[in-house]
Amino acid sequence: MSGTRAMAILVAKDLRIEMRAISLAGPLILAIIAACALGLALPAGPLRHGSGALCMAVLVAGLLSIERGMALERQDDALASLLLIPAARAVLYPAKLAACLVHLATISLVVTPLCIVFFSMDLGDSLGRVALAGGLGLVAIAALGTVFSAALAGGASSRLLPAVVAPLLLPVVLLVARGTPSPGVLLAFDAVFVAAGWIGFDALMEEVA
Amino acid sequence: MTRSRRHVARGFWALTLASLALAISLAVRAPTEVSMGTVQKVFYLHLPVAIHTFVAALAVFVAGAGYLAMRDARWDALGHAAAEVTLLNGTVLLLTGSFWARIAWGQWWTWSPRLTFSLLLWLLYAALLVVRSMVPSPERRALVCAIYGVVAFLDVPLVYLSVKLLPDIHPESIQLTNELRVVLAAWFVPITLLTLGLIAARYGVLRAGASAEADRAASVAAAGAHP
Repeated sequence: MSGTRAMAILVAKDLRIEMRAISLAGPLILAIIAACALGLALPAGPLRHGSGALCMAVLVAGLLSIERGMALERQDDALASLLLIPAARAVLYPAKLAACLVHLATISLVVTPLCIVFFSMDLGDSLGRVALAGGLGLVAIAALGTVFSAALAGGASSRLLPAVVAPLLLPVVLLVARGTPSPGVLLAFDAVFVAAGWIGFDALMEEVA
Repeated sequence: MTRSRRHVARGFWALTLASLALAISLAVRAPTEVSMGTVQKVFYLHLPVAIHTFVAALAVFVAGAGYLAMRDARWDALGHAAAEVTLLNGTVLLLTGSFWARIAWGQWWTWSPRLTFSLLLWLLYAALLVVRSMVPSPERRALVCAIYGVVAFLDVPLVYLSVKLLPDIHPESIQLTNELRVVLAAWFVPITLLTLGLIAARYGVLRAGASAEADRAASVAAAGAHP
């Protein structure tokens, strides 16, 4: 089995599980509640308030969704069984990352229009730049969320995921919310997060196997 | 600890205390800066501590990379010791910075990019120590903390570059007379010695603890094998 095919099967499997369990509903509702609460607390007007609220809503809901996804994978040692599939181990991290990105993009697609309305965000000419920065921010959340959810899965420590990953992601969230001057900085963050995540995930899978 | 090592350690701490006493006396005698007044003397502690917060964070990064490459528990102990010292230095950095801000800007805290990223740096290493206490398996804990230490280091260049990347009221640099530069240089000596000494001391304690734990586990296993 080729790596690409193995990856496509793994991503499809993750998405199918999510659709059957409707496990994205909880994080989505949480994201909407966070957007509403921040909309009430912060005044509309500055673009920074809207983009900051959007980032926080996606971060909190995204981490919850990633933690739930990995908890499903850990049930009945499904992860150990997955490692028996030929070529699966090499593409397990990118496959999990891609599935996470789909979840995060879904949450963003629901919450972004809400934040635009609640905060009267006038994106104007900066729509492309904001979308690019937001996309790079999602890659960062998925890259670290995937590896740390695998590392902390099982036992009480899994509940720590937001406390562990959020401080690591806050620099990215701040750069996205404040309107980073160049996407190069975010790209550098993504590159390091994905590289460290891949190395760490492989090491964790050695333990599982 | 052997006798000769104990002598070296005592000599090291005596040198550290002597250099600290010299630095304090130089700072007290140094002329008062015109615009800021006496509070400017906080800067002699603030800048070296800031630099050594980065140095300790670099040690966590190197230890994390070392552990990922070699899976040796000594790298994990070094990362643990350096993370504690990063947190300590970061605390002093935030307190001295806040004190400076109260006099210079009229408020204890402002959400300027450099202050925000410095607070984040502190938060990152506090979270790293929390993770350490929450993961029960030593191998898993070392692996998680190694990845964390490598990724957390990314905030260090951001703290440094924040004043260039984003609009900030924190000064990029401060002009000092030659006399004040000498005082500042004198403060780098005790802070460097304190940072390295504390990392080495904590590393020794952690390694001794791990060794005692391994001995205890071996004796329990031996007792189980021969009832």
